[in-house]
Parts: sequence; structure tokens; C-alpha cells
Amino acid sequence: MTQVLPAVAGGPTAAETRAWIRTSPSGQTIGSTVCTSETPCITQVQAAEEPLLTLGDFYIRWLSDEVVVLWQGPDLRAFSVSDGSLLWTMGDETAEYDDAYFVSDGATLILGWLHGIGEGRLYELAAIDSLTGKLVAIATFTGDDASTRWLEGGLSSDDRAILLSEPLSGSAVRDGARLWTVTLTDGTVQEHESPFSGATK
Amino acid sequence: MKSIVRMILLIGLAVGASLPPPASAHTPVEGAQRRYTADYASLSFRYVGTVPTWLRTAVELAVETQWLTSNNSRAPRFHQSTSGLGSVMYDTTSECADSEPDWIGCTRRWGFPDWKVWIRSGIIGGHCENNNNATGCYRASRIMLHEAEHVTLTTSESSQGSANSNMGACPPVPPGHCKNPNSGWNSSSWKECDQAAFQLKYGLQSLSGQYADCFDHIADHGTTGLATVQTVTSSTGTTCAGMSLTRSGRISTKSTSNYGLLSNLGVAGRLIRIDRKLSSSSTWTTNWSSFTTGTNQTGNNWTRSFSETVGGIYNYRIRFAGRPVLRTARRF
Repeated sequence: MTQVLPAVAGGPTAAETRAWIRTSPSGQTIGSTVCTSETPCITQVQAAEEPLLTLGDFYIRWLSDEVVVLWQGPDLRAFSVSDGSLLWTMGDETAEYDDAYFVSDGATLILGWLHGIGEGRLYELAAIDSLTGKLVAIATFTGDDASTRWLEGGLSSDDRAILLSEPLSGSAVRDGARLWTVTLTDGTVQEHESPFSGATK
Repeated sequence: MKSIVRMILLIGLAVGASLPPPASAHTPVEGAQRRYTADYASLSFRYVGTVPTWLRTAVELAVETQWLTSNNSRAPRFHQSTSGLGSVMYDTTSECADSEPDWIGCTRRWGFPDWKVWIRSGIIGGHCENNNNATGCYRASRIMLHEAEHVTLTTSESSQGSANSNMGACPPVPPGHCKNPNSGWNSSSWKECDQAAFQLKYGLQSLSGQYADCFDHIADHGTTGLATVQTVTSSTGTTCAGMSLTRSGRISTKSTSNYGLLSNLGVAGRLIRIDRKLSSSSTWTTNWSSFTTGTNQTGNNWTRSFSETVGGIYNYRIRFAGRPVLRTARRF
């Protein structure tokens, strides 16, 4: 067995862990952030047939064969997997990201996020061109709806995004949670009747 | 015939009154925003899932008591209720787990009534409230103070030291920071630069109350903190010996957008000292008299009658009297 992502001096220890392992939709690329007491946090990405990419930045969040997206605080930063160049950034002090996922060809990142302040704060499901960072809103939610939409990328597909009314706890969801699907091509939002025990529409 | 007294009130020579001397690079916490519109926004919360009693005690201590310590601002107020809209959870995972593997506390949906805070269970070192302050423990109340500030004010993890703010990141930057016995582990109130940011964004609770000691690096600062300005109805006057001459004025913080909600506030309830000398003398009689500014926000906030029994030309100057916050002695 070969260790794909090389060890880092000083760790990781149990307390200073290698972060979650991320894989691209194709399964051909793997990445991880490592933080140790001896080494500032770095992100390693290993794509097939490519040399190991090491970024002095963190934390890895989403990965395709071409792009790795890092997230810390209110900022997202996307880097080229092939050469480590910074492709795009987004975010401001009002940004709060939920979840995102690359569609299967890696060309688009579907992102759920909040931005704005006060009455203007809204939840937006958006499609981001993974190479340019160009963002197109798919659906927006305002007012009370804004705080009760959570994208679940792991449950979503190339055609539809799944939103829940509250975040998953691990892989569990509380009885009564509401569920919506959003059709990515036209932004149609559909709420589903009582998808979980005890739910009311 | 009575002697003539000419009075010269030296107002307008200098401003700047304020806050204590510059310290190294401390400033209101970064990224501050007013995340709730109402003054004193009422943020109720409930516990969701299994939250042990010791943690409930710590959370309520943090946001219902410690939150109000060193807090002269109109920041939101928290209160626990079984029907609360906000949520406090105690879990091994959270919405932060995917992006920050070393998280110990987490906030989401800030700015909404149904905000959420997670406190991580099972962390190495444990929580101090649950292990008798064992070395390496994290104080849950300190975590909650930190997260509550994320809910109401800022996303940023402050880069300044724990002496000035509770918003310094706990792990992983640097690893282990804020765990017992490291600096800041047992913080039990807002720090000066937390309060400063809340005051800028939410305003003061009391005009005569405390200004945070963390304004000496912001734009338009005065010599040692927030700059003040003053006006007076007239800075000179002539009257007869034994007769009085009345003057009024206003002392306020400087009017500038850099001061946020602290711009152009009447400096209320501050003791002002008056020094006096004959114009022919170079020696001031300090603390010749004093008065306290009024509490009105608009218009003049002080009135003073000047009277001398011996004719001559007198100079007067007024200055802050050394109150803890607006304390620097500056001539006006």
C-alpha cells in the first residue's frame, strides 16, 4: 500500500489532525489539510499523473480534478490543482457558507450561502464556474426562509440540490425537518410533503 | 467703582481627550458588523439535544451574566427559554466540522433570531466546568462568550492577544491557545476591544458610562483615544469684580464616520477641572474649580459662572479630571 498524501513533520497527532480527506467527483484526485504543532496548516492535493501539490493555505473543503477550494472564515479561495495558482476568491464579512458540491464533471460548484446584513440578508443557492469563479444565483430565500435553508451537498445531484430546514447532525436529521429540492437548470423550488416522520408542511 | 475683570476662557486650544495611552496594536475587533437592528435585541435560546447540566450552567453564566460585564453598549441580550428561537447544542459534530476540523465551538445563522451555536463534546482536555479546571481544559463559558460575539458582531477570529479580546482563535491558530493555563483560558467578561467594537456598532448604553479602552489606533483618534471637541458660547468676556459671567458649552466626541455610533456624542457626567491664572503670570493654579458635564446628548452640556473679587485679566482652561476612561488631562 502506498501512502498517497505524505506525512508532515510533527504530526498529525490525535489533537492536531489531518483534516477530512476530500476526493473529486471522479475519484481521481485526493486532498487533505494537515495541521501540526511543528508545521503551519498546509493543504496537500494529489491528482492522478500529477506531482503532489502543496499549498500553504487551509482548510480544504471541496475538490475537483482541476480545482481545490479552501475555506476559512468568510473567505473561499480556489486554486488550480495542476499548478497551485489562485483562480478566484469570494466572500466578505457577511458571508456564511453552508455546503457545496462539484457536479460530476467538475465544471461547476453548487454553493449554498448566506450573505448581506440585516433585513437584506438572504440565502442563495448559486452555481459557480469552477475555473473563473463567476457566480450565477439559482434560487434565493429571504426573511425567515433565509435562516432555514441548508444545502446538503452529499444528498444532491447534478440535476437537483437538496435543502433541509436544519443541518444534519452527522448523517442524522431530526424528525420534523423539512426538505426542498431545487432544480438546478431553472431554479424551481419544490417542498416535499412530510419527508421525515412528524414533519408538517 | 468696581474693578474690571476680563476673563479669557481658553477653550479650543486642544482637543483630544481620551482614552488611555496607546498600547501595541490593539483595535476594536476586526470585521465588526451590527448584526441585529434593534438596540438590545432580545435573543432567546433553547438547548437542543442532550446538553448536560454543567454546560447549561456555563452557557447561561456566559451570556446572561458575563456578557453584561464591562458592557456599556446596546448589544443584543441573551436569555434562555424553553421556547427560545436560538439553539445551543453539544455535539461531536457541527456545521463547522467540515471546514474546521479542530473546532471547539461553532456558530451558524448569525444575525437571525434562530441562530445556532455548537459546543463540541469529547474534546481533548475536556471542559473546565466538567473536570475541575484540569490542565488543558477549555472553559465552556469562555467558548460561549466567543461564539455569542460571532452571533452578534463578527465572523473574524481576532489576531490580537487574549488580554484585549475574547475573539482570538482557539485552536488551531496557534494550537492549544486559550486552554488552561494559557492566556485567556478563563476569560469571564468582554475584553476592552470586544466592548469597543460593540460600542462602535451598537452604541452606548449610558453616555456617562465607560468607553472601552481600545480606541487609540482607530482612524481619527486623538492623542490617546477618541478625540473630543468642544464649543463655548464665547471664550472671552468682561465684567465687574464680584459679578459673574456665565458661559455654556458642549464637550463631545469628534464627529466622524470613523467613530460609528460614537460620533458626536455628548461627553456626559465627566468631571471637568478648571485651572486659572492671571494673564500676566505663567503659573496656573490647577484644580481651581470643577464641574460635571450634563447628560444631554444634544446641545450644550455644561454651564458655568465665573466670578472674581479682584480686578484683572484672568485666563481659564478646562480639562478632563482623570476619570478612568476619559481621563487624559488636556487643555481646552
